[in-house]
Amino acid sequence: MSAARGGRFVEPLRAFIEERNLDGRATLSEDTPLLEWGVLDSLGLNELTLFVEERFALSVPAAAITADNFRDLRAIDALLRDLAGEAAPDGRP
Amino acid sequence: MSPPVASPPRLRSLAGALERGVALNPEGPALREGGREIAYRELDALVGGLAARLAELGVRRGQRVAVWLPKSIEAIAAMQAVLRLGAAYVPIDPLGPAERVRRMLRDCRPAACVALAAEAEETLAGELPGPALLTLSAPGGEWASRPGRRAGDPGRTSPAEGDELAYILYTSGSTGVPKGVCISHRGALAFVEWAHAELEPGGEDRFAAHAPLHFDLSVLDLYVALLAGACLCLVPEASSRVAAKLVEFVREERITVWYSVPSALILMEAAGLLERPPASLRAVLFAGEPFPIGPLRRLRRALPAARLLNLYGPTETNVCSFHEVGEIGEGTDRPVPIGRACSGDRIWIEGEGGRPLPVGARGELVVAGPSVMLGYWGGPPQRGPYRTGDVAERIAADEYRFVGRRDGMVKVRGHRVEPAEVEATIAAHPGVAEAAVVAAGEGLERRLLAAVVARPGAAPDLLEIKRWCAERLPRHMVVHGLRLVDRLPRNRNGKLDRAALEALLRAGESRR
Repeated sequence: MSAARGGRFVEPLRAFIEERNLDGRATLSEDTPLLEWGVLDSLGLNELTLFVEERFALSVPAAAITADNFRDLRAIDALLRDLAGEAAPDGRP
Repeated sequence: MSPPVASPPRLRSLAGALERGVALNPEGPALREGGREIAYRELDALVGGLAARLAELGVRRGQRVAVWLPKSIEAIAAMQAVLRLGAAYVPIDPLGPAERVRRMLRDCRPAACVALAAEAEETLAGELPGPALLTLSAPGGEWASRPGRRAGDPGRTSPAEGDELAYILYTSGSTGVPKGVCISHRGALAFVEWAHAELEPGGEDRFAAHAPLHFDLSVLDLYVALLAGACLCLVPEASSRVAAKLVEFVREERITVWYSVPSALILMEAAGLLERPPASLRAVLFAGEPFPIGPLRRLRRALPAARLLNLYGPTETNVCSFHEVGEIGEGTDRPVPIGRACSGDRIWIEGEGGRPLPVGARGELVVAGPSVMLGYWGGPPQRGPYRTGDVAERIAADEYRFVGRRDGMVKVRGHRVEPAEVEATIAAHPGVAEAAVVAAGEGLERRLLAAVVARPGAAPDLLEIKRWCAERLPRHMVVHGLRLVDRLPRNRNGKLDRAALEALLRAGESRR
């Protein structure tokens, strides 16, 4: 089974979330459920949104902040690529 | 000169709140949720239809009905339908893990459960011995009934009142299992009618429903709005976590009355709430934890015309005291008081041996009066005053300031957590021999930290412990940090040395 590989946002997101929310002592995979497993709580989600806006100069509209878009690293990456107007790495829209 | 307005007669049943709203404002909006809106008259009809379905399923006065739905028009309608039948509702955390949902349902033994069809199928199939199901395909979707295996008799369907049970709210329990706090109609109404008289809302008011429906803060939003025929604007679960979205919500919905934990307001300030202070806000209420004075001062200055009210009370007493925030000088550095008694209650502080204490003293805060709970579900009735376990300072004859806790209970961003419940959960992990949990840090930086002794050959990491907790506990009880230790610090009697444990875990935190 080959899961679609995430794009350029995955690594910086992974590093940020691991450092801020897992004390830098655990490793996230692209499909670790971030909300469902309590990795991101409300404060974590707020910090992550601010980080994304500052680091990538992207504005995350409130309507985009949904449980689906922040489900895991892959979903956040897809959201950010969408906001940046980039295509998916495997060529799908 | 207009004649004095007679105050409406006091209600005997919480079901009367919606009736009052329907009479006051039949065509006005009762609830707004996302793009949906329902007028009082329509809501009344929806509630009537759901009550008929529940009655058909055998629900009768005195029984319990679990309401396990996302915060939605339908969830609130189901709660009102249950009350209309004289039964009591048990709101279940829609984001809660399945195992905890099942545990609560086994505990409160509902006659029926109102749930999303998919979740009911997945979580409740084969689980419950008898309760009927009233399922919803999705918010705004179709209802379906499935009778329980236990035949219900038609019974009486008149509204319950007075000391009868209105709802059960589950809170974190010091024995390691959640406790169901039983609130009567009289208890809920004592608080709701006090808040209604204090806020004097009208049909033009727009209340935000920020708190989840299984939290006691939601009782004010919902019932004070209904009593006034005002509009209740539901904050969707997903946006309630992100401050920027909440700020947008307050502006777009032109909210007039906001009630939340201080943490949410502080995050909203950071997200720009006060850059353009919403002119619509006429009252901001907060409860659940001390509001740090800096952010509160900024809020006070940005909203000079709004009333700011600090409400206090554990779930077991509803709100039993309040303080209206006036001007906050630059020199003020302590949190504002929890103030004086309300909801018809009496409050005082006691020292060792139950002595009442004078002005200037500190002691355990005790509450007596109509808003005090009936008891915990399955436990003995609460008789007489309720001892809160909170330590307060008596700062004037009838005024108090919150100081801290007597026992191990902690608050993390306004959420109440019994470390024992988290400890029991973590200790049940196959890789864990022993666990202890403390809260460290203040305000938004407050975190739940666990010290864990692993079983030989095991080394569970933070992600694994978070996953384990998240499958069994509400989200606010998932630990933020983990430290593996060889043994837990104990004193000479073998008792856990919490002071040493806190020092150990805080030291590990300093690298953040």
